[in-house]
Amino acid sequence: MPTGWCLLSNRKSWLITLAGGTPISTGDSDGVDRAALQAGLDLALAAGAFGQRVTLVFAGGGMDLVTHTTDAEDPLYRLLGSAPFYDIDSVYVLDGVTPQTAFRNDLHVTAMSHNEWLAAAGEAHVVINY
Amino acid sequence: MEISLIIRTPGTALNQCERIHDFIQSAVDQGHEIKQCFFQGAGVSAAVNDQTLPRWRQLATLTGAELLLCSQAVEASAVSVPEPFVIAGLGALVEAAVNADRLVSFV
Repeated sequence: MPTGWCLLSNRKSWLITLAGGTPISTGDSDGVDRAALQAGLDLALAAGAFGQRVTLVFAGGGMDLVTHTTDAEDPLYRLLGSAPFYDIDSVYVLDGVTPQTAFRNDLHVTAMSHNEWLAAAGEAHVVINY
Repeated sequence: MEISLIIRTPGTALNQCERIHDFIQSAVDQGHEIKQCFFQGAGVSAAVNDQTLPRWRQLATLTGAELLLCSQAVEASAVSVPEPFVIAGLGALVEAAVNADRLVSFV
């Protein structure tokens, strides 16, 4: 039996938070570890492709990927746009949202409070931060 | 309990590598099973350097765990892949996370 079908029969809930990690040598000048963002987003899409329930949350340095002001030609920004094709229909942003924050309009972006994030972490089978 | 690990610790953080090794040793000592260690990003080059490789070989023998290097990171860092490490894609990580009782991440 193909691996993918085995995974579908064992569907778990994942909470993946993309915050740009701890700045290391690969970090941008603004301190965001884009390699971590890429790795986390790749994993989220892979999990979605294998039938897992993925809750994708953006915080800190990851916020730029969901705001309207980001360079739309940025490869990560474009990659995130494919999330609905992997059954990730909604993404969340953790705190730091003001009424002036304009989110990208190709995704359903919802604000999530810190308490809501903690509750989601408590309920998820797999919790990973990037 | 079956445990899988995601390891993204850079090679410059040797103390952190030691902490991972200690974690694995303690888990095994307490009767847990380490199923897989998946190395991502900076963790890939950190895993296969001269300082850490002997210890990983020792742990692989001790635990029987799969030591998987993220294919994307291997390509990006152009490292050679010594035994017992093997190259794997994210599907292997997803499968391990689904099947393990706990997934522990080291950054």
